[in-house]
Amino acid sequence: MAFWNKGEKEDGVNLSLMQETKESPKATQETPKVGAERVSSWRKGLGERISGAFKKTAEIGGKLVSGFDRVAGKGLEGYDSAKAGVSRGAEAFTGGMDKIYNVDVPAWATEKAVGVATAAGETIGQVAKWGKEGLKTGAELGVGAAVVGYEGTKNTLSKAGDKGWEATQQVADWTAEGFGDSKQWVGAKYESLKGWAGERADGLRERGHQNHEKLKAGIERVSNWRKDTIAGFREKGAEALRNMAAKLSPEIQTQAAVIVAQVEGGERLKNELVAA
Amino acid sequence: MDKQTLLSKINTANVSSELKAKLAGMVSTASAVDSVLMESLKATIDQEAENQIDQIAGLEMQTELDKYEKEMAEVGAGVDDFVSEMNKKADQIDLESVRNTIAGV
Repeated sequence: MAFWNKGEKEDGVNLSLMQETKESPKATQETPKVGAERVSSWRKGLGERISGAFKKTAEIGGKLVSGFDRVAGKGLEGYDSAKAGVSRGAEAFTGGMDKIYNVDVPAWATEKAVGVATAAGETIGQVAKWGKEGLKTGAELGVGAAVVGYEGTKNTLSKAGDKGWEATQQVADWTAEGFGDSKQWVGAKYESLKGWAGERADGLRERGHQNHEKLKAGIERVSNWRKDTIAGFREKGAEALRNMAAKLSPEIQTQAAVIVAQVEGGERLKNELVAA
Repeated sequence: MDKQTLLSKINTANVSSELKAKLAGMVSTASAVDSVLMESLKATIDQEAENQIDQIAGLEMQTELDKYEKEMAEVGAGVDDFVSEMNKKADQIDLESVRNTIAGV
């Protein structure tokens, strides 16, 4: 944004063409300035055009800035989306934990353990009916069954816990992986866009800058031409103007030639008046 | 030199019609053809010459501005294209894909 953001306008440029100079009149107080009003209006028009041209440049710079802002916003939006995905992953993680520990596995394990214990109790009751001798065996069987039931329940819960842990770990891995991929993907896209946009913007900016510098140099050159030509005219007359006119750009040579001829005509008339 | 001779010289001179009218007016209203009138006529001719130099400088300046405006119009069009293309590319950062990727988790 080198020159668009600097607020450079007419700074540093000799805009004497646009100013109403007081340098010339050698005429008497009574002598009206033929055409002076027209030239003054013309200068004002030129000044307005130059001012408009600089404003146009500023507007173009503004478009670029807003374009960049939007792209930057897109990049941020992408990162925000990835972050939101992590939040959703975390919710899934929590939900998975609840499901594993509070619903499916504990109910199943408990049911199985209760089943084992019930079977053991029934066995004990049956054995009791068989008599005292059978009681001991029955009790041992019952205890053994209870132990088996307990161990089974414990193992089941342990396995369920392991599975739950694995599952939650997997969820966490997936979440991290998904976030990483998404972030990397958005980041790469954004960086690519930034690189592309930077190159294009640099090219446009350089072109605008060079044009801007050319205009400044042109204003300076024309201003100096005018100043030198008026000085030369005062010293050497129309001959100086003819020489200076040869330095003008080809685009205005034809129009300038008509004006130079009129100045020369005025010079001849003046000489005739002097001779008279 | 009398007024008629002066007016004749003015009318046949290769100067702008505006200057001719001005000079002729000065001669017609002068009380006499004297050195004061002659000096006024010469000063008016000199002043017009300087105005004409200003006019040439103005033409040159207009040429510079025309070039500048043409070039800046091209730069402006380039910026419009660029911003439009940049917006399209920004839209191509398909956030929906990101959401889908994460939703797959």
